[in-house]
Amino acid sequence: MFPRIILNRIFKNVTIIPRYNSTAAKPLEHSDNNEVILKAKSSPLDHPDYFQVHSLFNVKDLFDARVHFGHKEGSLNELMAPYLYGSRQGHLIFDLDVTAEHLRRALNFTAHIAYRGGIICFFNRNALNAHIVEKTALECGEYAHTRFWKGGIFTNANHQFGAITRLPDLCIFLNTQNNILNQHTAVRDCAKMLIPSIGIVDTNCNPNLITYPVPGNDDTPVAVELYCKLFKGAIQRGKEARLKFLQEAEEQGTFA
Amino acid sequence: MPVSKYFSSSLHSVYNKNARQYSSSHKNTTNAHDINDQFTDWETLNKKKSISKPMKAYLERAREHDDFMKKQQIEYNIGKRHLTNMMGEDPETFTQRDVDRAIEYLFPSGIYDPAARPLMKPPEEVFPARKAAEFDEAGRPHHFLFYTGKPNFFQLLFDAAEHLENLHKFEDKVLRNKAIPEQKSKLDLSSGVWVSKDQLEIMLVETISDLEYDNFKLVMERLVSTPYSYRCIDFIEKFRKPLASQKFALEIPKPSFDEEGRAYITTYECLRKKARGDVTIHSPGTGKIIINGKDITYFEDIQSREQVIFPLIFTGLQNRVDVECNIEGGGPSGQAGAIRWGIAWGLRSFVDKSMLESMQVAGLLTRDHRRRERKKPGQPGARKKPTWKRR
Amino acid sequence: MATSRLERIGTIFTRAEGLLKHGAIKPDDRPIWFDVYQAFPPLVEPKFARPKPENKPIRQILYKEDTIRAKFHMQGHGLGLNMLSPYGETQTKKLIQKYEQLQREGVQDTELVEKSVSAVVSHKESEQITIKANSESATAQVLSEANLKNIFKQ
Repeated sequence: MFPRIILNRIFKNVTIIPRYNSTAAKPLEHSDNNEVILKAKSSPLDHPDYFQVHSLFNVKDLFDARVHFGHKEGSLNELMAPYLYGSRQGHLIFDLDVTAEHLRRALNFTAHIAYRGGIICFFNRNALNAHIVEKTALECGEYAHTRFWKGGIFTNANHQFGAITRLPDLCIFLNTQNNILNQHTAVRDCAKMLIPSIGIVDTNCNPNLITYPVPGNDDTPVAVELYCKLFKGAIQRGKEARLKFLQEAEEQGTFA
Repeated sequence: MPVSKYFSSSLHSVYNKNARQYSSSHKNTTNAHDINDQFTDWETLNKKKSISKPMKAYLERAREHDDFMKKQQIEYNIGKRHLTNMMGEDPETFTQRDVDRAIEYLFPSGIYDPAARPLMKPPEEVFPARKAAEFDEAGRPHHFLFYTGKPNFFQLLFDAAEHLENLHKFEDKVLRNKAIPEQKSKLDLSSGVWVSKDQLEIMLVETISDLEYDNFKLVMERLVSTPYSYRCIDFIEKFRKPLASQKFALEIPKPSFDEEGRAYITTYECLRKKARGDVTIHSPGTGKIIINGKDITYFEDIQSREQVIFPLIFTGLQNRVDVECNIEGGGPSGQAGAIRWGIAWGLRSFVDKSMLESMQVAGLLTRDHRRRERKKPGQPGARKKPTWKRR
Repeated sequence: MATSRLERIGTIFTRAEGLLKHGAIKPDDRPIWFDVYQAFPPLVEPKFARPKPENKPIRQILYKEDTIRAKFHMQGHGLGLNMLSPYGETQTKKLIQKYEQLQREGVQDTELVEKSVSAVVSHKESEQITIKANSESATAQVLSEANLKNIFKQ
């Protein structure tokens, strides 16, 4: 792991790695350049990274938060094999370059959904990390469900809540398993109800139904803290942009 | 500057390449261009403000509920007018209390459970209050735990966890500063219990399962057991209620003394059935009992006499105090019961604490509020039915 | 929504697209994520029925110094970890550094392990003594003078 990180850091000053695959932090002088592009384009969707989520983290942050630790070799889900770097003494290790790419996609998607006023719901069934997840949801004005999943909250929502209910527009799973054996039912229900999902998938998880899977450690509190911080940052950037957009729209409305 | 320029251009080429790749990968599913042409831009769509579907449905339901309640209110008022007519009273001054009294008079019921007896109450009391809209006009729920289905309950658990975390942080800080914990850090909660499940449900306006109630108690116990839990006493006290009356221990009157220097105490208002009287106890004494100027033979039957001397025998004071009582009304058993309670109530001043507790357990200090049940029409007694004959 | 609830068919995007194409939902009522997904699709299509990746053997991560590390661990040296200071160098790392240094200096292979262990241990002990001496002078005074009653008022 280390040699690759160091390598990237060294080469950062010498050659230009495409931003898309780069693992290093975004250089600062790039931002004013982006503003020029921003004005020229009409929709945020045309911009590759409108909310600058690339600058939220770098691979070293992931490494420090122990995102690269997977479970033991025996519990590997075959579908997770492409995301692995290797195995150290029987413990699987994620390739953090791959993880970073997936995570940036996920963060970008999150920011765009927040910008469009979507409802974002955090999920987590690990009691150890439940509180920080709920706190994150509260702090960024979104929603959380870290408790026992009563079947039918999505699939039978109108009956469950006794009224027509708007379902979340994005579900973020900070772990996708109920316990080591079963997948969270909400993962399946999201796919059923056409709700996109982002999920941190460990080596023993199935990434099939998750729209934006992020391979990484889903148990360690430090790692979960980092994910929470990143998603919070992305949502806040999206919301700031939304506020700005709404204000502009209002001004235009009053002038017209 | 040239470097950054090159940077951005390389970046765009990569993105465009990627975008092309993705669109080609989806090509087999649809010819996306046809649909895309019909799309209105999100930005333009969002400038038109509209009420969301959930909100529309909620407003509809709220209107229906209001109509229903209005109808119920009208029916209640008509019923009240009829009642005043029947009772021959002034409709202007006829209150809800009068309504209850009238219903009890007109529809006498021997059913034990008060909730099952006939009643007439204003509709606001009969139909439970409904939750207000839980989401705003865009359909976004107000509560961050809305999707759990029990937001208030889980908010409570969330708050408890938050307090717990803060306490742990504080404890760490104290340890780092190498301080000795304060004495008042131990929280004394012996004078109360956690609110019951029903009360908690009323507080939260949500139904909770037994398991969830157990979880609630577990979390709160854990919060209490941490050192420095006094720092969130306000939060804890919200979910505790004082233990039922241990008051009698505090309110025992001190006996007065007469000219001869004997201690005496008088209990007024000794009631049982229709009997009513007062009891005076003198100590020290020789076991004399005077009832309306006569001795214990005032009562002719053995049971009543036993009733009167039972508290004296129970406390072992039968030869050490004198009892004097005036009693009127009711029959022998009612009078004996009233005296028994009066003696026991007066003896509290002459016994120690452990005896007081055993008297409480024996039921000597409990008032008997039962009254005669009225006779019902169509049957010979309060409960008795006519003899059943085949033909 | 009118969609099929069979999550194993296609992806959420293809199902939503189908609805749009056949007019089951109006173009302007499309889900808000639809455009975002179209612009930034995930790297792998989230299909349930996805072929399993070919079964490649997992690469074993091994380092050059693993053999040296094994020598120490076999004799029970450097297995402990000081959890109170996670940011310092671990015992094993110090041992390996010493080992390599001694090897460069030309110490014989048979004595290398023992010599590096004794060198690291003696270094550690001397370090502890200096810390102790320091704590008696400076920090202990500060701690004893700390206002114990005021910490509760923070």
